[in-house]
Parts: sequence; structure tokens; C-alpha cells
Amino acid sequence: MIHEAGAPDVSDGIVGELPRVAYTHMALLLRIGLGVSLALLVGSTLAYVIAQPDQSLSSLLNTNLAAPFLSLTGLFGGLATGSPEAFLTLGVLVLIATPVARVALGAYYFQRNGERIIAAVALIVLILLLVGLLLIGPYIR
Amino acid sequence: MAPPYRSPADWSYATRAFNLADSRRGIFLGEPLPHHVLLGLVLLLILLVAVGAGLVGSLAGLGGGVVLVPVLVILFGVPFPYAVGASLIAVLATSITTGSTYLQERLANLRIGMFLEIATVPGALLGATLILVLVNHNLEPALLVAFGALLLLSIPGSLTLRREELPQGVEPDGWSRKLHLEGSYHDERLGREVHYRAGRTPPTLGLMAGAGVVSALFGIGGGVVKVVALEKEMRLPMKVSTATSNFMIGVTVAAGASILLLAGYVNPVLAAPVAVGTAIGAYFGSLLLPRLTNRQVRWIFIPILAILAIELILQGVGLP
Repeated sequence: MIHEAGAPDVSDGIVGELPRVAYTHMALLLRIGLGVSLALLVGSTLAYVIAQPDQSLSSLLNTNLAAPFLSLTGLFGGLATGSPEAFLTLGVLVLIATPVARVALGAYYFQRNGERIIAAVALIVLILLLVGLLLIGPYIR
Repeated sequence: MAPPYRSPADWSYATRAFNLADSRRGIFLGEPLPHHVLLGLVLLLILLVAVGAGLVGSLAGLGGGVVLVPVLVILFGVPFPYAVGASLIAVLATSITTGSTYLQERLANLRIGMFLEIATVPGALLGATLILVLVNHNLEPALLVAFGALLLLSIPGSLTLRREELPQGVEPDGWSRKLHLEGSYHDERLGREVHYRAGRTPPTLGLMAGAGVVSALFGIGGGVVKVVALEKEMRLPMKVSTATSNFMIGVTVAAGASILLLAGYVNPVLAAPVAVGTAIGAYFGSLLLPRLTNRQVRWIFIPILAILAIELILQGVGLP
């Protein structure tokens, strides 16, 4: 084993890497999230194209299609009625949520590995994201 | 809710073609072409263009968003914030695709990546807020000029970046020691295990906050800034820098995309073909890259980036 300059000696006690299963689970989470999201996006785009009313490309590009579905009641209501726009919005939400869920899973594995500081760091990242959305969200909606 | 945005789509090439086909449908085929078929064709065209953008972006080493945003603005007349919104979704899909591979290979340093996300996430929230403020004050042309300038500036940077495989003489700082910002990986090419430690953590945090702002403001992953910060400031090995940067892009972009989605600038119908196309293009780019020489990459793709940059600046100053 060769150590680069600046890298720790064995006596420094390298902090243990996360177990391989943590990496595997995180990679799996990302792949499932991406797969579900892309399936929703592709399927509901096709449904939208077939079902959508006559409108110009210009108005389509400028329409806030996701707006009615950015609340829980709106989203579930849209999904229940089979609205392609609701499924499209769900696809986008799943894609955005996937790396956020990866941070949460990382926090869990660091905590389990006894690395409380980094687990706390991951929680801070999630809190920053949540607080940021709660603070900024009401002003733009 | 964002105010209604006046679209430049009316004069875009794609809209002109769409409107022409719409007004003349029936002339060539004998009977009117259904509207949804026309719309499907346009979305298919967007998907194919996104494949090209993903391909060029990955070959130029700049990521899909850098090419995608100007292409959506210039070719399809998509308003800048909508192009940024769609691009962020595409960057997210691409970074997840490659990020999962890097995780399985254990190249990404999770400890360093998660720590630096403390800076990139607020940066992205700030960048996304900034774009909304600028657009609401009709300063979109300034954004086009700024993006064009950023694109032009990144060209010489990508040409002159001489990457150091394994940095030597790295002195870990106090943060690095306390948080154990270190790691190891098996280097296939060198055929051995490599250990490394991070240095200069505070300036890296500052650069990461800047990378977050740039990411959300321009709809890009910001990988160029992140990789430079990890390599030049923290002095991480090249492969670890690339993998860790990619690891961080996901949650950074998610932060920016959330704000733009709430503001109404993520149009799912536009985002879907863009995300799928860019991911496909980036995948083929990664297959093609080893077969091309650096010289070929430069001669083919630098002019494309330069043309896009100049076109954006011209549009920004009102000379489409």
C-alpha cells in the first residue's frame, strides 16, 4: 500500500470507510429514483401529447403546467383523475427528491457507522434545503 | 406565482417551423395532420437536440446544461428561466446516471461531498432566487450576456487545465483533520490503492457556494467550478474530484430546481424530452470520448461552444 504525500500514516488511524453495502444501497436508490422518474416522464408526456388540446407551441412552452399539482391535495386529486400533467409533475418531483433521499440515506449510514459529525452535517444539508424552501417558497408561489 | 412571461418563442426557428407546418397542414399530405402529431414531432425534435447537447457537453467536459440552455434559447426560443428549469432537470437526470456508477466504484468521497454540500445548497437557493429577481425586473438580457461570457471564458479554461493525477505534498488543515476529510480508492490504471487527504477546506467552501449560485442561475451542474475547487484547492486526486463533484451536483441542482418548480419555470412537458435526450447523449459521449483525441475534441466542439456563446450575447444585447 502506497501513501501519497499528505496522506495519513497508519498511525493516524484512517477513519473507516462506509461499508460497501452503504454505497450499493445509495447507488440502488439513485437508479430506482431515476428509473421511476423517467418512466413517469416518458409515459405521461406521450399521454399528454395524445390528449392535449389544440394550443400553440409558444403557449405550451409558457404554461405553468405543474402549478395545480404542487400541493398534496392537488397532486393526489390529479393522479386520481388520471391527469397526464399530474403524472408529469410527479415524475419531476421524484427526480428532485431522489438526491435528497440519498443525503438522508447517507446520514443514516454515517450514524450507523459511528460518524456522528458527518451524519449531523448531512442532516444540516437537509435542514438548509427545507428551511430555504420554506423561507423562499411563500414569496414565489 | 411568477408573473406571465413574454416569450421570445414567437420568433424562434422551431416555432416558425411549427406554425408554418400548422398553417399549411394538409397541403402536402392531402388531409390535415393532427395537432398532437405536430406537437409530438416538436418534442421529438427537442429530444434529438438534447441528445446532441448531452453528447457535445460530455465530450467537451462541460456537462449537458452548458450546451442545452443556449440551444433551447436560440433554436427553440424557450425563455431563459424555462430553459434553465428544463436544463436543471436534465442535469439532475445525467448526474444521477453517472453518480450511481461512481458510487458503486467507491470513487466519490461521501464525507467530503456531504460536508461541501453545506455550501452548495444555500448557494443554489440563492442563485435560483437571484434568477427570479432578475427576470421579474426584466433583466433577462443581462443573464443571456452573462451566460454567453461564462461560456466564452470556460473555453480557454478547459483547454489549459492540466490535470494532476495524484497531488503531492498536501497539507491537511484543521477542518480536514477534525472532520477526517480523507479517503482511499483503488486506482485501476496505477494498479494500487491510493490514500489522500484534503487541504484548504475554508476557501473550497467559498468556491462551492459560488458553484451553487452559478448552477441555479444558469441551469448547469457547475461541475467546472466544483472540479477545479476540489483539484486545485483541496488537492484531491483527479478521479476523486470528478466523482465527488458529480456526487454533489445532485442535491445542489435539486435545491435550485425546487425553487424554479415552485416559481413555475419547470415545464414538465419540456423537461421530459430534454432530460431523456441529455442523459442518452451524455451516455454516448462517455462511450465516444476514449476514441477521440483531445485535438479532435477541441476542433469539433470548441467552435460550437463559441458560436452558442456569441449568439447568446448577441440576443442579450438585442441583435438576434
